[in-house]
Amino acid sequence: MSERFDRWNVLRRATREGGGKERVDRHRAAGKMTARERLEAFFDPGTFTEFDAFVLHRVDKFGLSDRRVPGDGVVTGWGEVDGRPVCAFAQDATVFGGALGEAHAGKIVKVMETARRAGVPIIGLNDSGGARIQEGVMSLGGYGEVFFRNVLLSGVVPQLSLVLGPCAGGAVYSPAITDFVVMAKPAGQMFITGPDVVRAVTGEEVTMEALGGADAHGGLSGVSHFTVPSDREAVALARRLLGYLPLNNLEDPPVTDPLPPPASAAGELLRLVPEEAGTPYDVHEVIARLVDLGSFLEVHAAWATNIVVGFARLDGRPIGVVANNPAVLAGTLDINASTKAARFVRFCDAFNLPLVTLVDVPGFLPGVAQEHGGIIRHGAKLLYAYAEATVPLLTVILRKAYGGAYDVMCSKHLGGDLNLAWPTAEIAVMGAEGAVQILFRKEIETATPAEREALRARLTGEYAREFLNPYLAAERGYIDDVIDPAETRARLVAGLRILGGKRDERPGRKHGNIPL
Amino acid sequence: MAPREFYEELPSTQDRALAWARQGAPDGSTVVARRQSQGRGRGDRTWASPPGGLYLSVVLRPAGALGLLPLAIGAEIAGSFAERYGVRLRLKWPNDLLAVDAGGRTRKLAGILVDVVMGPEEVPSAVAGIGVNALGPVDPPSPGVTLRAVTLSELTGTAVALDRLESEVAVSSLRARDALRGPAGQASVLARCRGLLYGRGEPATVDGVPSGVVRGLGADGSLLLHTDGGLRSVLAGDVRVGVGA
Repeated sequence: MSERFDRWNVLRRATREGGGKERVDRHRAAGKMTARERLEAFFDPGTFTEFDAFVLHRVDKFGLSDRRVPGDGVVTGWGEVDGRPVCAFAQDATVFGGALGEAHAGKIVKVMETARRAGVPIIGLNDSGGARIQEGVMSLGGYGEVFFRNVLLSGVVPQLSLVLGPCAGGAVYSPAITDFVVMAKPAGQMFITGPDVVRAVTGEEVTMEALGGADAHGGLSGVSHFTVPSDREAVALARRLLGYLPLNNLEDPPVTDPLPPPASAAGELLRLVPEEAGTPYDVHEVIARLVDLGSFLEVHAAWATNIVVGFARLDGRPIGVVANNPAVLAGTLDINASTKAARFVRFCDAFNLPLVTLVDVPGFLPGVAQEHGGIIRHGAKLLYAYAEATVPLLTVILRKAYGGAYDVMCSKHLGGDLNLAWPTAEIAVMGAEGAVQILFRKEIETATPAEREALRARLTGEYAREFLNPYLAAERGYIDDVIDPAETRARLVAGLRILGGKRDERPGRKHGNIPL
Repeated sequence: MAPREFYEELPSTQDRALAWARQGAPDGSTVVARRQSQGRGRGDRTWASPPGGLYLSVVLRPAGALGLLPLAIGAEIAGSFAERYGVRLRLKWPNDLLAVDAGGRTRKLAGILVDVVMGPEEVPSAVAGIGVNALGPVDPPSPGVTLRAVTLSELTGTAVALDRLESEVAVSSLRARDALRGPAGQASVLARCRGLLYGRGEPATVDGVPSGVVRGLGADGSLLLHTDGGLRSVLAGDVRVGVGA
């Protein structure tokens, strides 16, 4: 009997050693935590339970038969985050550089399947040199199996990816499919082809970090949703993010005790938003005064910042916030802003998070680059995402809502449940100067040069008074009410309570055809 | 919204904006590129322009007090970055913005270049070209470059938004031009620039020749040096202050 236990103890100890002391020391010296340390920091203390620690690869080629490490370079299991169950895997860069082979992939697939059947979120901690070349096509097969599960789980349980080391080649597509990517600086790196291949093919000289570092993906490509300065902050962010999300698509997000908004909130709102439609302001300031104190978690904070998206709580209930930001590019919708908001809206819809949309938009961004870059099909994504959403949709028009962008930003016509406007709202096909230029071109051209400016000013003033207000829309029921800005939070809280049980069954179909 | 031209790549945003200003670009027009193949610095120096930097030129029409304009823009940007990103910046005469960390280490974050052109109606326009190291990493030091570079994302620990940064810098440039209207405005801008001036009390070289110790700024925006022969005011020239002087 004791012999059996001795063997168990020896084997169990071996499963904890990773790639051996030397490699682990080197890994730590680079400022990185080991796979197990990361998982222990992520889960509530003492709750992480590992599976498949005894798994070995079955490859005999290229000398691999002598190099079998228990666990095969990935740690998988489950545990709790704030007392709620979560599944996870963490690649161990001290074993084969974290490279993925058949057994390694099999473990990831198994824990993903567990998450699917149990209906709990899955989080992947990526730190891998890529495919295990010695395993050849079996590595590719392994990736494919993982991607397929990522797609099966999409919209069923939340999937998060933390990129804490290299993630190169085809491996990037697993994080790419997941709902959110968190990248840690400076170790986290993602690219399809590395600097050497880039140099050989296009002649461009670029470092790994400049090509695929956390800054590049957080600020330029939009691949990463959150950029953090360390492993520890990456796991802390993932914990915070899960706090807004249900375990799966059949549950509601977790409601907490409400926190108040900042004390002086209500009266400040009007002062924050200048009446003059062209004057910029930062919409973060407005969000901070509407949602529960300190509850706003911004997604994509450094990419396409002409639109702001993120999670927050309103009276303790998790919501998704989408807001045009007049501080950047005048708050126009462009290609990146449209795709950023569209994917966020679809995530919220998939996981039962009501959406609050704050509108102050002058239209779509003009330009050859935008038109030829496909703003038509990209802008359509946001429109599609809102129209498809069946979660409670609450919209507040703060100031401008011009042209097609008015329709797109969760208007009544796309299914808005509660559409409010401030008295400063201007709901119209376009601003006054542009409209006068088109409607009265003849009159302006035929006026004498001396009269021209005065005429233009008079017509602009008349147009603004007549059309740049919320009442023409409210007369037609496109707006449910024109409200005192100070009441905004209270009206949203009440709306959310009434709409909490919203049901909106749509015709059955395989899936729609969103313009991609 | 003032007109804005956006390019993935340009030889130089400054050259494009100058051409546009000559044809009468309206006040506040901007040219921005994600990278430049021939980015310009002061004199005939190049400005390294890899992806991840902000490369922006702003047309200021009309503009006056041109000697003070680069400093004024630097001071506005320093104020805006302090408020928004919590970074402490200093003005290195005549046109650089430096980050100084707690250990006294100085690294270059941004540079400002101002060119003047005549527009079609004989209205003088200034074109302010501003380069900010925004997203990491920065290039390793190379020969002839005396100051290490630093990025805003390195200073803040997270990725910064280029589009947002662009708005902030464009607004700072317009504000700086407006602040220079009238003698009272100019005096107040100068006072702010003096407070931000880097290298006071440090030795400086002009065109490679050791020339004295930095005293402050003259009323015309010149650099005042304390030399053996008394106070000397430097209006132009290749000046190096402190580190690498």
